[in-house]
Amino acid sequence: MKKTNQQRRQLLAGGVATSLLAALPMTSHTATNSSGIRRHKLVDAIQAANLPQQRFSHMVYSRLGYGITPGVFDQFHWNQLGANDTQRLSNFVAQQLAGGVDGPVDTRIAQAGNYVTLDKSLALLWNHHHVNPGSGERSSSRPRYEMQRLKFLRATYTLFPLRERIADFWHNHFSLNGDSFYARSTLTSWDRDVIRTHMLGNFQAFLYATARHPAMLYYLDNYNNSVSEPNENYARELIELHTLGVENYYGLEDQNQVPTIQVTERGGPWGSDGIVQEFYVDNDVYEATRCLTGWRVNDSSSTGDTGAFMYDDDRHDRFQKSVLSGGMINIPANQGMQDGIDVIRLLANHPGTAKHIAGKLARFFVADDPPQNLIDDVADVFYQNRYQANQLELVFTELFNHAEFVNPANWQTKLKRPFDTVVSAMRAVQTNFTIKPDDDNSNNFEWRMDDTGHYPFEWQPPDGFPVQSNYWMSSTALIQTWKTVDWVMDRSNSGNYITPLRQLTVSVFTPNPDDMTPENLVSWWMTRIFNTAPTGGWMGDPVFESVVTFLTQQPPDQTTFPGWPRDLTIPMEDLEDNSWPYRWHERLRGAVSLILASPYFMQR
Amino acid sequence: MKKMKRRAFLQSAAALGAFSTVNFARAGGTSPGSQPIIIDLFMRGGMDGLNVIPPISGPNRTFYEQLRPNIQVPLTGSNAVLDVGEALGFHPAASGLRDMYVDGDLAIIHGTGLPQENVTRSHFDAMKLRELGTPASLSTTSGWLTRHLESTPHITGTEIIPVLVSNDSNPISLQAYYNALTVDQVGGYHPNSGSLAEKHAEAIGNMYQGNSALDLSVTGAMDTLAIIDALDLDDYNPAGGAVYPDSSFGDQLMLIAQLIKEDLDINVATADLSGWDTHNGQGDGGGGNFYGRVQNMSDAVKALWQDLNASGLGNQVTIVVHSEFGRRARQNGQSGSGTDHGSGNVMFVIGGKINGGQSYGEFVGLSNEQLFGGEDIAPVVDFRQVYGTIVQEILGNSNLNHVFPGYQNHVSMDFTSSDIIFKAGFE
Repeated sequence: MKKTNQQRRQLLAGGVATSLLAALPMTSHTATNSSGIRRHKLVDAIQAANLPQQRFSHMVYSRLGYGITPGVFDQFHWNQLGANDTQRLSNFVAQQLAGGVDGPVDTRIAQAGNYVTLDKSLALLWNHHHVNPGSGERSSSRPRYEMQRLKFLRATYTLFPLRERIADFWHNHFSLNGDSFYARSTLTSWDRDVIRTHMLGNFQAFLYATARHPAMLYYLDNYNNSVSEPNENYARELIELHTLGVENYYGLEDQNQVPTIQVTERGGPWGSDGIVQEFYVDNDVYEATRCLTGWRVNDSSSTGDTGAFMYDDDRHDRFQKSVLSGGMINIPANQGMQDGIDVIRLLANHPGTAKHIAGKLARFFVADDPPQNLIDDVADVFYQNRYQANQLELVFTELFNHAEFVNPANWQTKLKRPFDTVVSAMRAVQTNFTIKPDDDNSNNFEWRMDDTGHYPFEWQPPDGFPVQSNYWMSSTALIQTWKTVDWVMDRSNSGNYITPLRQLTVSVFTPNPDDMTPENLVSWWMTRIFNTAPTGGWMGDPVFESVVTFLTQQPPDQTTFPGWPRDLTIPMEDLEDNSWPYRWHERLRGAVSLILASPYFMQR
Repeated sequence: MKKMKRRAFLQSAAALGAFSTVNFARAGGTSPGSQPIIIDLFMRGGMDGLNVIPPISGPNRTFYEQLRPNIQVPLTGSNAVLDVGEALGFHPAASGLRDMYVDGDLAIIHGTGLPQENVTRSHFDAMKLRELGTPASLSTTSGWLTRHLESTPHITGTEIIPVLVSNDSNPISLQAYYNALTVDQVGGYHPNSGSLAEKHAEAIGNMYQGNSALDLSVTGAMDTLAIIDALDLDDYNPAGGAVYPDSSFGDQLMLIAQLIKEDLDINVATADLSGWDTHNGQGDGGGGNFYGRVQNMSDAVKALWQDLNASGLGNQVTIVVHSEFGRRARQNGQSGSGTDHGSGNVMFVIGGKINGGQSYGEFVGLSNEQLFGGEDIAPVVDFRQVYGTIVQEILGNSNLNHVFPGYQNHVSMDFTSSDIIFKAGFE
């Protein structure tokens, strides 16, 4: 067993993986081998065609935000940030992490007028939506409902999109099913008091806050974990997902069989020598479960029913325990709540946690298969600063200024997830759409977005929405995402389109209306959306040509009218009126949808 | 059978008016295909197999009642176990499974799981190790079904839809396979539903002409679109009086039956049902949350089988129901409790070529010494032995070493009917 586990760990560590994999009969390029087995043509990368001559600014805005936003995040504004791209990137990251007043978001929330849970404390949320729920704005799931919609509003209009991306990362890391019983009525607090309060702070403090919030206590069953009824669900995911990660799992081995390392901490759960297990085994999960018994929610009338965290000594397993200590007792008897705190300290400050989280960050923000030196460097900053109040801010600063982050080999290697595609589309074409509760447009939007499989807070298992590009390449995810984007381009209320494609086009071409040919139209929109144009223009570019072909097609279902010549002026009034038979406004909306469905837009 | 390539199908569909409402005749010709089809249904979250097929007599019943004072399936009352005259019975909500078993179409395989040295209690690792088909490596680059598709003689490259995933994303068992039709609903399935829809889809296809994973996936997505447009999928009437439960899972299985009947050369179909992670609130006395979950699964699987069997496809299809692991034998609390992650579990295999109405594998028992690590149903049957038997004897693919690299000394589990064993590789 031991040998197998070591092999397994080595495989997971990646060092030996390549050579072992090479031994598997999986790497032949031949179409058919002697045994008659056909091979797939091996696919080199996930990448489809890359945006030609992508600008550095475009790369940063795409990966550290929700893309180009004309007038806010574009080359012009990028140039104001410093003398060269290195300096600009550093300043951009610093400004974004610092945050500030978010005027556009605040204004839209105020205009919506029906985000009613945002200022409620946890106690008030609990009272209004859990203990005494009603209907509508007082329904038990109102906080969850608002958080789902607010996530779109914020991402689409914030001045600090990097903070939204970071919040998204942590919401995924400490993933909750928003419909879980306590989460649905407290999600506003979870987002504000836990995720956003700690997302750039100290990881141990962050972890401690997640462990004590009713949403997490309920979702992973720790509220019900007691000496008489132990429930290991939370303890397992705390270790496997939130801290050490499954790459540091040593299986069902005994604790004293696990290799050890020496850390610098002394005393308390580290003992006098700082020797801890390098990896965890199932017994660590059981022992951590015991340590966390009695960590529950104040959710009964006899104790006040406040929704607050509550330590219940009567439910606590008071005897001695050993966690990550090779089977030696490191949690003495009768420590009470300190047992759980010791577990959190051990886990938050373990080098394995630093590596696990660094790897996740690199896969989220940089590449599906990120360079090891990037992970190592980020892990190092994470670990060295583990007692700093701004530990995570330092981690993100390291990650985003790293040579591998700016290495062009890693650009455009990730497929945007559906949420990111739709939000960045709305930004790129300046959609004016305040997503809010109890609103027809927002409901319509939600129905479509739901079908992409990436509606916020609807991932049920505790591992969070997948980050690997491959997962989001299914026909359903792609088609439903594009369908949602197309709806955003097409949606109008009494003739007022939420996306001002026509107004913008008309205003741009009005000074020289003869210039409004299909070619110039597509060229202008591509340049706008991608904030660049290749030397010599877009002519001949495969995306450009595909869109022009669409735009100039013969009107369907009739033969009198031919296809429109690609260099012939489109009458301005036909665009404004969407006149039969060419329906120029409808064509324009389709053309922009297509640009937004192109690989140049889908990859970041 | 005269086969039509996917492209040819799409072209003929276009000629018939793919984007109109023209009804579409069977795609592959006048006679249905004969390819064996595996339908793999993954119960995600760790299905508590011990309560789906609980012991009802003998010492194991005694142990069972001691281990599970609250969540045991009772022998009497409104939620009484379904007794088929054996030592193990069926959960009261599993009447569908019971019926198929009694009819001889369903085989129970006991004690399946990862090899003992590879047991993990992580959902995510356990699922991945099973789906990759390499219990000792998480780094394998393709899923086991992908490798089956690479190596089965039934795939010739002319299939219209070789793989159907009735879900919103592909399972890891199909990792590195980019030609699946992945769809969980067919209504309104288009990126642009206006009058320019056809050219819109064409333009998207034109933008992804390369050979990357994303290009291939988009090409597949556009094919999906065209195929769904070409088929008349409204107003479906299941055969054989099958009634699918009114649930997402029911809908997903119905779509599988519907598309298999369209004769598109489907070789592999998959769907998932999640929500089995019953640490808490599993349901006491055979009722509760678990009851509803089992009922949904059992009714849906039975409807799928009835529907396909009554359509003359019984001998073509094999349905597998499985989960990443079983749960701990001991309940983890008192009233309102559940069970934590375990290892060994049952699998169900259903089909016309299955020698059903019998149990295979081994239910080792529930005494402390019999439980794996004193906690779990002992995993004594490598899950690859179950799939290996299906792959070789029903799916007609003799390349087990390719499908499950590193898996050695395979021995048939003998749950296929002896008169129908397929001679692999002779086609």
